[in-house]
Amino acid sequence: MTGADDRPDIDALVAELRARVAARRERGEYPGGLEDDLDARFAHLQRHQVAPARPFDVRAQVARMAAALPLGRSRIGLTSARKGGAAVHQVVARAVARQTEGILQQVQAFAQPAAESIEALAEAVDRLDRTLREEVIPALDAVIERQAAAERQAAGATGGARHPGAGAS
Amino acid sequence: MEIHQIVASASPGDAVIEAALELREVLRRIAPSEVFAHHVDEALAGEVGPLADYAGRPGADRGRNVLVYHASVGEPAVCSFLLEGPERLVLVYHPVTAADHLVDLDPPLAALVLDGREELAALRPRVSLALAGSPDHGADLQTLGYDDVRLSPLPVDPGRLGALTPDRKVAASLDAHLQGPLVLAAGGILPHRRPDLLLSAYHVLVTYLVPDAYLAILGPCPRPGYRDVVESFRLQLNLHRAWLPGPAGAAARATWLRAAAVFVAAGDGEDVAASAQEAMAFGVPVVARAPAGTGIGAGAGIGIGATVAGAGLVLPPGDDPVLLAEAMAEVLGNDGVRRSLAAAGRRRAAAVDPDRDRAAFLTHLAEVV
Amino acid sequence: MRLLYVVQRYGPEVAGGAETHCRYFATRLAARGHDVEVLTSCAASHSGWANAYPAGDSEIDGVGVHRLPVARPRDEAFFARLNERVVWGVRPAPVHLQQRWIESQGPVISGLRPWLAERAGGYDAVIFFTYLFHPTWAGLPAASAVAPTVLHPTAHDEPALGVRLYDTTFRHPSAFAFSSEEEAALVARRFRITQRRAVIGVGTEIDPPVDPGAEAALRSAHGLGDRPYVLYLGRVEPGKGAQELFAFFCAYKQRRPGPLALVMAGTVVEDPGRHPDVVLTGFVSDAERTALLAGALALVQPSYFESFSMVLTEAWAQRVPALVQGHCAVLEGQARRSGGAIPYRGFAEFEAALERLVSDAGLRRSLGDAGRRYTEANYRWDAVLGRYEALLSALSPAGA
Repeated sequence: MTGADDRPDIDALVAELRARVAARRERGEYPGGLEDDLDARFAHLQRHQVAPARPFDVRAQVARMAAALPLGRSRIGLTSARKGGAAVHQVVARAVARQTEGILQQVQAFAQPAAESIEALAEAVDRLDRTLREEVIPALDAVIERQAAAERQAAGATGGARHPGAGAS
Repeated sequence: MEIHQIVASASPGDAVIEAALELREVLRRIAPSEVFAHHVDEALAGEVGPLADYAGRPGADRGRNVLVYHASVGEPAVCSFLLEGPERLVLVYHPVTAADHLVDLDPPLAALVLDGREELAALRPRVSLALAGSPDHGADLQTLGYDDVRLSPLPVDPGRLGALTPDRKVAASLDAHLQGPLVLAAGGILPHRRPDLLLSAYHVLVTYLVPDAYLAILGPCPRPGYRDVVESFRLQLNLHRAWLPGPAGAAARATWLRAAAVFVAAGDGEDVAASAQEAMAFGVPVVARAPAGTGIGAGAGIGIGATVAGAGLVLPPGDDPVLLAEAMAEVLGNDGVRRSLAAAGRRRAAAVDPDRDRAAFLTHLAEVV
Repeated sequence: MRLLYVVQRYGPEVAGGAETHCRYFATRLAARGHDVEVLTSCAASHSGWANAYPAGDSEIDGVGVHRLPVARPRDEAFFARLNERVVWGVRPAPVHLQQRWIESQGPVISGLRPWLAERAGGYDAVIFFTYLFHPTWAGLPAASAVAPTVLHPTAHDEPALGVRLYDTTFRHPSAFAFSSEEEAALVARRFRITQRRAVIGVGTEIDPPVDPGAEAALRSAHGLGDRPYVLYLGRVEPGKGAQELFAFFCAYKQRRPGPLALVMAGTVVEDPGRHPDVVLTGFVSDAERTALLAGALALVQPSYFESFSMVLTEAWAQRVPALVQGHCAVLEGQARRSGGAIPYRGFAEFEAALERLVSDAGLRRSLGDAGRRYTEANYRWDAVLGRYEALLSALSPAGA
């Protein structure tokens, strides 16, 4: 590989590498269409700006919602930055306690079932999302890929191949 | 009088900004000197100042100054600032790569390159001194109307990394995770650096040739969308031993280079060429893909081809991941080839004389100061 | 009927559940008057698939055997890396990568497809064993084009089952023969198969002849004296749960010293270590297995991945109770249906169950008897082969 003055003979090495690639292809060590497959894969990702899957964290959102319940007067703050403000807030809170309690009960009566419904929906969406991501989409991708591979093979076939009668029972 | 350097964008690992920071130390022996940039990565916030800070000074104070502008891609804000300024202007030309080669790969960058050329043409009347790193770059500037272009290679000291203390975090991570030969690349995750070709070649390498190899592509990932695409490609091919560690400062680069078995350049550009020179200084054999033929801007043939020819394994131009993979496998598996390339690379790196290049720069600068 | 089996290895010296399962069926169907042949490789060992037998035709126990050479030995380093990427990585991996993986898995048998394309049409059924290996993946499409085919998947709930390459493999056969209900349910869930299927299981000899001197000779050979022992039968390797069993037994002995020993009878693929109360016998013959079972207090079956577990029915045929891995759905199902075994999950349950078995002879008897009744009812060879012939006949006009 080295030339007369010990420098690497790059031209010879490149020629050798090219020959090696050709020999491997001839032996079937590199599958046909490998480069095209890789190119097409990247081009598809680029065309559709595909990002790695970052699933929406439904559970975290549901947990935040659950942490906000139950509603109660004790959650209404009475502090104030102003001098004497806290005392004023306390007096007002006592004066309107009945009305405040009434409003909170009505809202709680809505919020609790709403929260339960959202939790159930979140569970269903989560299951659906997992099924889609883990089962349906991979299966579809695999089918399309195999179709493409079969089309390539058919396009390169030199003779008629018997159509398999698969799954005959 | 002050002598300041201006760049459009400053990010760690960028060859131009690293050279500018080194030059600053030399210039400070003559006059107060800083580096200013329109975009400053927060990692360089202490070293490089925002251009707006300098531009805000009164014009009278600026009139005696000299500005050294490292011109690369277009940046209208910088161009306007330079056109309107009172300083004497020295232009140092750093072409990216030929726009026609970028048009398909990276249209926005191709547009920036073309804009950059228009800006250079517009700046010509303001420029007191035009410098280019190579005769090719000089010829390119001449096509834009610059008559007297002086030759002044960017002072790059590829051997300086060898004296640096290793980056402990990078070293610890490599100790923990690297369990096979490392293929190292640099230039970042940008379309014209061809990370897709690197990953494809690496996929062929580990699937058919050298199953235990690792890949690391150093450099910034300034476009989140493109990074996501490259990451998706990596994940789809299940290349979990391919790493994208991000920008690497000098100490980190030195640590990676010490661990590398081969350095690969699939793209082109001054950054990549400088990284290849650093690899050669470390005795890491270099495999590069020759850039495609010349075109608009004569930026093609920058850096990597000239840097590596005769000192590394330069493959013909063309997108051939299989040939690139075979070349990597050959260097990893053939002791004789590896030693021969490493020795050739060391000889080339040793011939680089940054002191000479700095002296040439100062000699030219003296005509203006 | 004229039947062809296709299996990755074949021969009396070949150790392996699926391969033994295939040989049992082929030999017994030949004894029942069927014309049975086997197409297989020249490999004897699954580690590397090195060619050991000569290529060509021969006969073993009334079965015609056609051997074709393995094209290249398995490169374990390559296979390990590809396995990480294809089986454990993001799925689906690109098709060409999955194909590279299955070729690396092997054994790639030279000339398999053309042999089948040319000759499979002359059989009433072509029967493939084991979904996992290259001969099934490559040969099933070729054979299915010209003849009725049956697949014995011998599938476990393991990561490789999820590789998408097998989606079409399971579309090719005319019918499936499963080893257990759990295997049938697993395959139906994973592949949504629509073809004919039957749970056949594997037969076992009820009251196999026991050489009266063999047990004593084995005890003497391995220094067991007259100590009681529990028995593990099979390859000693992590994939069979053997290393976990060794660790559990050592911990048990530390907490409960006594004469009880563990005998691990099978080829040692990975040495679990040394302990004064554990005996590693290495490969044992069928006669030695029978003798060891006859003298055992109980069988322990610790494997996480089984599609049937022939050793379990062998043990029950000799009224030997069993402790079985509770994390394996197949073993737990067998235990539940038979009443002949105690499933355990983790060390605490293992310890408690083993202590009960060791100290309660009545429990051992009742478990052993229950296992024996279950085996007699379901796994006598006549019954198994009857089910099997019914499945094959339904596929083939000649067998109808």
